[in-house]
Amino acid sequence: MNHIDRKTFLRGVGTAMALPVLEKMFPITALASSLPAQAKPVRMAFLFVPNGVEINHWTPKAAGALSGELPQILQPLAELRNDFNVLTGLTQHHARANGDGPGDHARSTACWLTGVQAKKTAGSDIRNGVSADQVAAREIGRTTKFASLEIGCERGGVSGDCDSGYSCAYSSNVSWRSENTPVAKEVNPRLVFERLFGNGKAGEEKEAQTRRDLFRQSILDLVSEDASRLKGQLGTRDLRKLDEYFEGVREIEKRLQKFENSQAALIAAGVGKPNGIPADYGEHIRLMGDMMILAFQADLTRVCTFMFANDGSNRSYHQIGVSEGHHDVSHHGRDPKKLEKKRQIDQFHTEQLAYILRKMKETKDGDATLLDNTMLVYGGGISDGDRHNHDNLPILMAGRAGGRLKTGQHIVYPNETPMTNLFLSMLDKVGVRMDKLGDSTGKLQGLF
Amino acid sequence: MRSKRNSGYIEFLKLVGLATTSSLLGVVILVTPQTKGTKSGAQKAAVKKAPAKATASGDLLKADLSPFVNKYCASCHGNTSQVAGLSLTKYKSLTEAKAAAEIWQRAASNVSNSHMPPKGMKMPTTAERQKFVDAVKRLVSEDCGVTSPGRVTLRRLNRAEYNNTIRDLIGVDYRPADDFPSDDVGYGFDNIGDVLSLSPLLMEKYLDAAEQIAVRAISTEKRVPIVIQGSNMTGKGAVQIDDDSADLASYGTATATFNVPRPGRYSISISGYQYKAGPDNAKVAVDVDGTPVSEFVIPETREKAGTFTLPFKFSKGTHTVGITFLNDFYDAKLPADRRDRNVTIKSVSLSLLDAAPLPESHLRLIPESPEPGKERTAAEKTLRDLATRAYRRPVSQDEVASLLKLYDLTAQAKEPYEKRIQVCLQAVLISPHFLFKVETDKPGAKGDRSLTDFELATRLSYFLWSSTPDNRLLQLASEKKLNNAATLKAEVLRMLQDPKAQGLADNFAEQWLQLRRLENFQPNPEQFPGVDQPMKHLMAEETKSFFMHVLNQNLPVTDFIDGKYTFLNARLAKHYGIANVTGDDLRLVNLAGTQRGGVLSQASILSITSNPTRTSPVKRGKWVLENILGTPPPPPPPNVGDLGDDGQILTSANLRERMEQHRKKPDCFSCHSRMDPIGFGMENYDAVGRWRTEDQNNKIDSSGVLPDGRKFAGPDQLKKILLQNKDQFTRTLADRLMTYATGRGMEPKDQCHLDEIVLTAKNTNYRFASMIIAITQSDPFRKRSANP
Repeated sequence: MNHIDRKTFLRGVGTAMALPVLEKMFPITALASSLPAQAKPVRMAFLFVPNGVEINHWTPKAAGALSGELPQILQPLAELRNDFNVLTGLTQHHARANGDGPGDHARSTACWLTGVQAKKTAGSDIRNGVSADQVAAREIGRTTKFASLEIGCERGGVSGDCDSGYSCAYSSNVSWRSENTPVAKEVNPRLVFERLFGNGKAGEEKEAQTRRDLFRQSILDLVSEDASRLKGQLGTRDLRKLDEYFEGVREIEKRLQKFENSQAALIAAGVGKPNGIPADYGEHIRLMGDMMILAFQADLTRVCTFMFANDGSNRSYHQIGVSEGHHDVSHHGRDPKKLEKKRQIDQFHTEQLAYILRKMKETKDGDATLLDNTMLVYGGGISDGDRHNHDNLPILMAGRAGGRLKTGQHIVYPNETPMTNLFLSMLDKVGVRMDKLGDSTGKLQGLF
Repeated sequence: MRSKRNSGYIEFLKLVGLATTSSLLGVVILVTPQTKGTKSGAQKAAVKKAPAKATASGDLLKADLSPFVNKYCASCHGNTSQVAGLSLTKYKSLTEAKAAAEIWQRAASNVSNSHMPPKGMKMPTTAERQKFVDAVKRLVSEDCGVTSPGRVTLRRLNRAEYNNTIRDLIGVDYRPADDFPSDDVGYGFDNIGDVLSLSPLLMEKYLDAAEQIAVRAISTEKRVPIVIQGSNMTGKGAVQIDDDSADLASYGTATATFNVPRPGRYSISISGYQYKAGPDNAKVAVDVDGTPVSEFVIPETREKAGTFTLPFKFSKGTHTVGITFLNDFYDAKLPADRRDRNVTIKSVSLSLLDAAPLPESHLRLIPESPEPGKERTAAEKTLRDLATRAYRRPVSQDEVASLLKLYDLTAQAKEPYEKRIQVCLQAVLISPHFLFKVETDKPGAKGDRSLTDFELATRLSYFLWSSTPDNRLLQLASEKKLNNAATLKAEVLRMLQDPKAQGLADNFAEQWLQLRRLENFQPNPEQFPGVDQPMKHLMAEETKSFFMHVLNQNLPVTDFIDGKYTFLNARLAKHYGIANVTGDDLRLVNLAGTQRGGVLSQASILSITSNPTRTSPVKRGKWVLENILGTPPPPPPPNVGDLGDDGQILTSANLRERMEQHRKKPDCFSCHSRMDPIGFGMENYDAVGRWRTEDQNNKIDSSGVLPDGRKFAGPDQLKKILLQNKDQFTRTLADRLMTYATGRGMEPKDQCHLDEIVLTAKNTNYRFASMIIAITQSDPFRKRSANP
């Protein structure tokens, strides 16, 4: 079927709709790859680790260049020391109780990218802010197949109260599309791959594919009408749910209309589809990292959040000889043995980070490397897992944002500097001008 | 299990009082809340009319609550100190106090259990405690007559519900939702309307799933033979390809090339004839992909072509069938019509021999292929039926019309009938009416209303089955009978006996008892060899089978605490050290004479409340407080160390002493004096639930003293204490059930309804099914408020 057929088809369903014929003729992805190197897009990634870190082995001794021996937890990153900054002094004030009582794990996760005090509720009327990645996605995600990619290694809470009266929606999502809607993450590398590159229908003939897309479009038109008719008969909170439905439909429509990914298919073919979730946790993290890198490389998205684990995770780290749960260990009570185990876990995480950064550095992206063209934030919303403090957060920022970012520094900000200031600066670098995000007070100095 | 369930049905009906026999009469009397609730209907109406009893109410705060608070609570929970962020003195009026009913209830529960005031403070007398508790009860229940049924936010199907719904609606055995992102959990369950969000990722998954379900449900397989005409064959040697045949004049091979769509056994059928000459009939050889497979003679002549068939198993893909002429004959001396032996091949065809019978899902939607010209009429009926079942209500003419529009478009695109229905099915499966359990209000509606019969059918089926209503429920709903209390009750009983009631174990029990945590429980393999994935699965199955047994036999819910039976197979019995259980299937085992009984002694619960290397009396105590007693302790203040696995912080030799040291810290005392003793009572069970009398050469001491001074030694005595207040456990269970059944958290205004359910339970000897019936008869379940 060609475009003309398609138009006729749509008219038949009774929906007037502008057809992005031009965009279909010039797929954005192909366009991006043919741009000169300096115009390669800047990607943003946010990698989250739970339960704080053993901060004594994280923070470099002095401010300034990252020279000499790095703190133990950062040592796996030693050879990459010129590719990242360590940022000290950043704070998420709204991760604190501020009158809401306990629940630091859930609250700090919800707050990590939003800078907003999440409403304390086990379920009714969930309310947080829009996260930095989603703010970026609204702008720089418009031109890619996926506005953003959300991945992780742990599913959401399985049962029970997730954290002291906070719904599990808070502790298992850093990415928030709207005040009320967290963006679900994918934890199975196979499913991420299928989502990015299609699920093995490579042999499908073009005509069959076109036809399928047209049917899909007609189906979506039909159900949108269904949903519209429902609108008048629902209450406010119900409408929020229906809005989520509409958003989902729009996202898919966008993809049906815009994208062909010949380049992505090539890249995918060179890698092959992962089998599923590896038994080894390290391998799981690395494989998800691979998926993020593939998505960036093929320009299927420019924004990604990646939660190594949910906050409060009590996973045990048999593979490095720590059989106790991570959360149990993080409440170390200054016990040296537990502190040591916590350091080992933290270092295990930075080893996986090193793999990801190294791979990004090895991946050519125009005239530079993928790492050069990325801003990657790594860290968490709790500083010390025992004290549950949310100042002096452990934050690392890798990549050069297309050459705009000075790296290789330990930058010490006055403690209590809002972490959202960092996001404001990052958003600025990708052309998203915002006056305020959460509790931000301005842009972060000394970074760009 | 299943057969026993069926055979026990009558017995079961007798138990719940539906099939009363004289011998059973009076054993169990099922009391519905309507007939014997806290207040009769007339009384309720009276309360409704009566203006708030302003003077009396004012007295309640001033006369009963405040004096107690000032005397015993205010030094910690007053406006100045506000320990744990709690002030009980900040309420200026009764209205304010009522708005904080939940806080007062927690306070009353702590006072009633002697958790508060903590040791070392001024202690109220028993009479004072009772007076305070009663006052709080009045505070909460005073408005019972004007209480609201509450309102649940539009709920989408969660993963389990989606899978079950597809299974029951479409009839395909396929769990598409296993690949969906996790459903977020609120109030302990993953079916809470407010918490279930629908991300674009999930929408994508819905669309993909709909497509795959449609493909699995409806077969578009070509059952007609694939025919290659002679004119489309290729020739080698003395072969001539004509307009309508392939002619083999002398030695040569005519070849038909097939694209075999799916692997399987096919019948190759070759149609042709000979030009007879000489003494013999023409003879040909057949090869597949060049390999000879058969030879045959062709006696038929031009007047009537013959057909030769042979079966052959093909793989998917391109294959050739070649026909080689074997016995050419030519004798110029013979008359012209008998001189030259030739062979003509008209066609070669393949037809699938073992085409799978059409799947049931296919026949449900397309019982038979409609005759040409009648497709659209057939489609209209199919789509109307489908949408009615999928949307769980009658569909409007408009809705059918828009589906038919989609049908017409696929017809214009020249898709075969089956494919057209596939596309329409996809649309139905991503319609908001399918994905959400829709309950609508008329614009501007106010106040409360009863659910429609269809809405009620949906609530019922997702509560008891985690799935879509069956035809009977929909039929009753269309007859407007379901809202009748007696019919409703009978339906609940029927549904509980259906195998689909397993949904309650899979989704309610797993979450109430937190069995899903077993998945992430990783006991240290060196200390606990053999507790592998299958073992953890068995542990969960034991508890779920136990749960289903209490339900199916309508036993008292107190059996959850002290039922002297369980479900074991050989492996699990060995784990417990129980003899004479054989086989792989779990079966009912009598526990009389063992140290076990009830869920607190089941390996599942004992494991999820342990650390990877040792038991955790704290976690066990906390689990009991949360899930059995309904009085969860607040989380620990930050910056307090907990116990090292090897006791590094605290120096005493054994765990118990270390914990006792820990408990001396004032920060820890008030909660740990509640949690720890309960956990100690379960210390005879190790971290994976095995019985033990020693731990690292220390004799296990499983005695404990509760904050109110009640003493016990060992799990049996602990359970007796837990059962001294049956209503407390029943109320916890009622709260959990109601949350799950309605898909929303319980609010202060729901407390009156919960009271009624507890009362009904009490009046029916705490029978489980009776409790579930009471839930389904309650206002929060059967009504909705237009106001948020």
